[in-house]
Amino acid sequence: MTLWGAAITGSVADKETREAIAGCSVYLEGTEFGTSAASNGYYRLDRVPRGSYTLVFSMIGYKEINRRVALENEASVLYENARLERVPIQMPAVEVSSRRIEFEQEVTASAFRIDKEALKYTPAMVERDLFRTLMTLPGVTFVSDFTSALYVRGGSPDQNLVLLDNMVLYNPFHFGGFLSTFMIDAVDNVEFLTGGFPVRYGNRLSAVLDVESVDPEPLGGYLSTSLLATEGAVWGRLGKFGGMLTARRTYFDKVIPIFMDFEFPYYFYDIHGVLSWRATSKTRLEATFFNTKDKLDLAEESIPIGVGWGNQLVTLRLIQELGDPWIAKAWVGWSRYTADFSFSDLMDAENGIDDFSARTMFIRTAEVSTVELGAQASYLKFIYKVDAEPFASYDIDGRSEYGAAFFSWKWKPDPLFLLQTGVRFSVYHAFYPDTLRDSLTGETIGIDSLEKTWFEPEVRVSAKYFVTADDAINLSVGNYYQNLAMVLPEGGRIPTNFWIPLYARYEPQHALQFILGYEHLFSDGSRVRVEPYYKHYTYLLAFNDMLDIADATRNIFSAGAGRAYGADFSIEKASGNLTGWISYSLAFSRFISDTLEFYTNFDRRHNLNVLGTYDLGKNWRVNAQFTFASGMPYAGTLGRYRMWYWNPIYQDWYYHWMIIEADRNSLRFPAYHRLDVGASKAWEFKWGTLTVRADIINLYNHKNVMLYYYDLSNEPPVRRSVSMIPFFPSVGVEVRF
Amino acid sequence: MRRLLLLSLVLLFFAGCESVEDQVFEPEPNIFALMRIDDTSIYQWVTVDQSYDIQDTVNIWGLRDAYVKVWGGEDTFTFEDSFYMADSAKWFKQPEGYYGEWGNFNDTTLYHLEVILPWDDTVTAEAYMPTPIRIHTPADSDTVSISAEPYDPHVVTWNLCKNTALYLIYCIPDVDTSELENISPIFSMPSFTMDTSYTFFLERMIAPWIYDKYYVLRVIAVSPEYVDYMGAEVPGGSVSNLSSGYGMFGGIAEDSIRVFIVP
Repeated sequence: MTLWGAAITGSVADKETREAIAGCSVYLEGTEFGTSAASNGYYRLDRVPRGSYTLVFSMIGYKEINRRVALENEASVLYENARLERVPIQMPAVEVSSRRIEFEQEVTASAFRIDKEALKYTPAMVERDLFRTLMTLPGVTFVSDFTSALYVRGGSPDQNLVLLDNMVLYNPFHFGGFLSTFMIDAVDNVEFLTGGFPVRYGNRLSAVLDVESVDPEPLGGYLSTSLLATEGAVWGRLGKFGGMLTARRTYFDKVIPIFMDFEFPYYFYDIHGVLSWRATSKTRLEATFFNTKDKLDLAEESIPIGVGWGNQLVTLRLIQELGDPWIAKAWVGWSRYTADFSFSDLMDAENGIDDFSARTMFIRTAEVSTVELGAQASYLKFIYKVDAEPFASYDIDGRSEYGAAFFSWKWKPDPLFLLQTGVRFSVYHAFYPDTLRDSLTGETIGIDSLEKTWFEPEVRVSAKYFVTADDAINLSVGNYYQNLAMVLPEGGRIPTNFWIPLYARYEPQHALQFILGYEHLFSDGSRVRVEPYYKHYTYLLAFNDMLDIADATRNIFSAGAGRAYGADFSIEKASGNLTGWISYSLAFSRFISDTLEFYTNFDRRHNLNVLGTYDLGKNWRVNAQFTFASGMPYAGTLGRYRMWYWNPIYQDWYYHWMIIEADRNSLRFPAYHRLDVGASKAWEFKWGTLTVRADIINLYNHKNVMLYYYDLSNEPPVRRSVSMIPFFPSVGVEVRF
Repeated sequence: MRRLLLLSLVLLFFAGCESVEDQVFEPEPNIFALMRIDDTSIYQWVTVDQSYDIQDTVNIWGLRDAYVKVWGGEDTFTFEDSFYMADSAKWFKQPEGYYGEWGNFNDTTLYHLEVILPWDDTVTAEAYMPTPIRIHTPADSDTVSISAEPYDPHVVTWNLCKNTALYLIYCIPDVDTSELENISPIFSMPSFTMDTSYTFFLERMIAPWIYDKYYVLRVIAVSPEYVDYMGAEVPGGSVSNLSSGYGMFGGIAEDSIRVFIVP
């Protein structure tokens, strides 16, 4: 029953595939009543006065439906389902506001759906990038310009679940941090959950980035080039079959040797392919292929260094409509992550994970409730091997299995209240044969099999109360487990990641999240959010800075507890010539154990981002982004003392200076701030579109400090700094057909 | 609701204004009291110093106006500030922070160090001293053949020293001190053992050995406190046995002979 008027409700789906059309605009023409369909296609318009209206269903790429409806009285509920037909023409790029649906259907305010158009028009360091845009959202912070790793609400990057078509990606970054491995045109439906995520996601403590590959459209493509890389894509659809292939590669290593006697030591490439088969009107099958590689090879230098890593992912997705209101989805896939690091002849490190996973989910969508049932099974083989003879050699090599089942229920009994609750039960089993070695000779003297099974119940509850039609408060509570960790030295500035599924030396990481939020939605889709949160880590692992490499398998991590708390604030302007957002995050993050307590190295107290894009007309756009972040903690040098010793050769007293390190993360860098600006102009031709972009990064050339070091050749030692990206102009060209 | 929003923003602002101060450097005492042990009395030195801010210019060597005393059993040694040596010319100054006194220590007494700093803090420590060491073989001026060593591995032997964690063995070209600087650093690296003998010469064959020369063979008995201080037990670290600050209180005993080494 509605309280303030009649209601219109129903679902929106693709006429051919029957798949829900998330984000489809549904509105009453000539009124302010409108919404967008939820991810399951369901929509609802509440508080509509009685009368006759034209109900419009509108979505890019689909033929619009206009339907006359009449509401007899203010207690009536009208059911209107729509099946939209795809149209093989390029619809004009209009802003499709999904704000209303997020507001009315999402329980937690910590969810962000990333608009691909917004991605294309944010300032970028030589290339647009998904992760660079995510870093501007409330609750997200960063440690340097040279890494795109996301630190979400006081959690380290390994606490984020990054999914591509429901398979885990372990290192979606390239060297230097300018780019992630995602190419914008190859992805769709990017959902970013900074907290309070539902039970269909598991095995992480902080956040979820859920990326779906794009559904191939009719024949098209593009080619773009920038200072860094060249990227191209083709896609097409023939009957029931569709396909897309996107590829990107840096070219310096190939081009520079042609003109100069210099071997450029680095390259990366990304390949992302999708195949789609709409087998029947109720069955759809999709396959994704994803391959990335980074290679830095300084073999010719005086100190040879080699770093490489890559992701390979293959996944198969089945979507089966079982009959209204049930839909089944299933995924099976393989994700491999490999990384290696070599330093001269002194050290070789190797990390690898092979993740074989299968997932399934059944969704039942009805007017007032949505039920999700699902299960997951994963088998992981992993290796983390370091060979630094004679100082250390260790080999963490084992396997783990992870199984989970979940049940989720979303219930909206009336327009004022929305509840989402769920339970997840996981079983984690790890096996790791620990090789025991003689401490003096290094010879193998036995194998100590470490095998353990953990049972991990998780309960999550979120509720939302609509104070008015445009104001809501929400509450989210839940517990979260995580069964793997990243070897991430303080500072997080290593170019690659080393992942280790937890084994019996440690316990699974565990956190409790409490989120309280307020949200206001404006009529044009703009919104304001305030969201305080508290995250209590009951068991947390931090890389052990005092690692005894002779016994690394036992002490590679420090176990403790932690807490992260703060509040996120954001205001978004979603319509008009000027669009953008302001986000501010107040954050605290502490690690606590029996022996030490410190602010994490990403404990930035204040993070402010202001982004704006202005449409000047005639295909001209200008944009700007300003970022301010208060100083980040670091472990630095505090003092020094003379260490005296007796020199038996010279028979005299000597000394050398010993450095006194400050307590862990007890010093802070200066505040970070940077202004980036950009402009783009597009020319439309019969064959397609030509777009030229120009960006200036760090317009006023502020020297943001990345690290300090002391030049000990001076007396007294002189502190010097290494700065992040200076003033940097870049241009790019894109041809789209 | 808007008032609530405004209130929460104000609260946010004040919450964020919680100041987190950088850790500030605070000086700590740094005392090095390594007693040299022999059968006879030796002029002993204790350096009294402090730690410094990394960016400070350090133009002093240590702290004057400290009170330094070592005692144990019937003995008490009060160390004098040597900034102006009593028996030196008035124009000659020692570096600041050097305190000296004649002393002879035995290996059965627990010795106590007490240093009262200029700002009245007191640093204390205690340690047993090593037994004086004497090299038994080879004898002074002996000729030693490296190639013979496999058949007589324990070429270098000495007496067992109490209160000793490690023995260090040096083989130093017997040249003028100024020439030592031009010789490979390999010679300044000691071998070590916990035994009273050592298979020494064979491993030195990896060094750019200069045959048919005289070398000084020096063996040092090191007390546990000095071993910890030098970081032998803690990789990359240094452990102090003082009640506060940096430094150590311990002892070494050393003996040396001159040998002629042939292939």
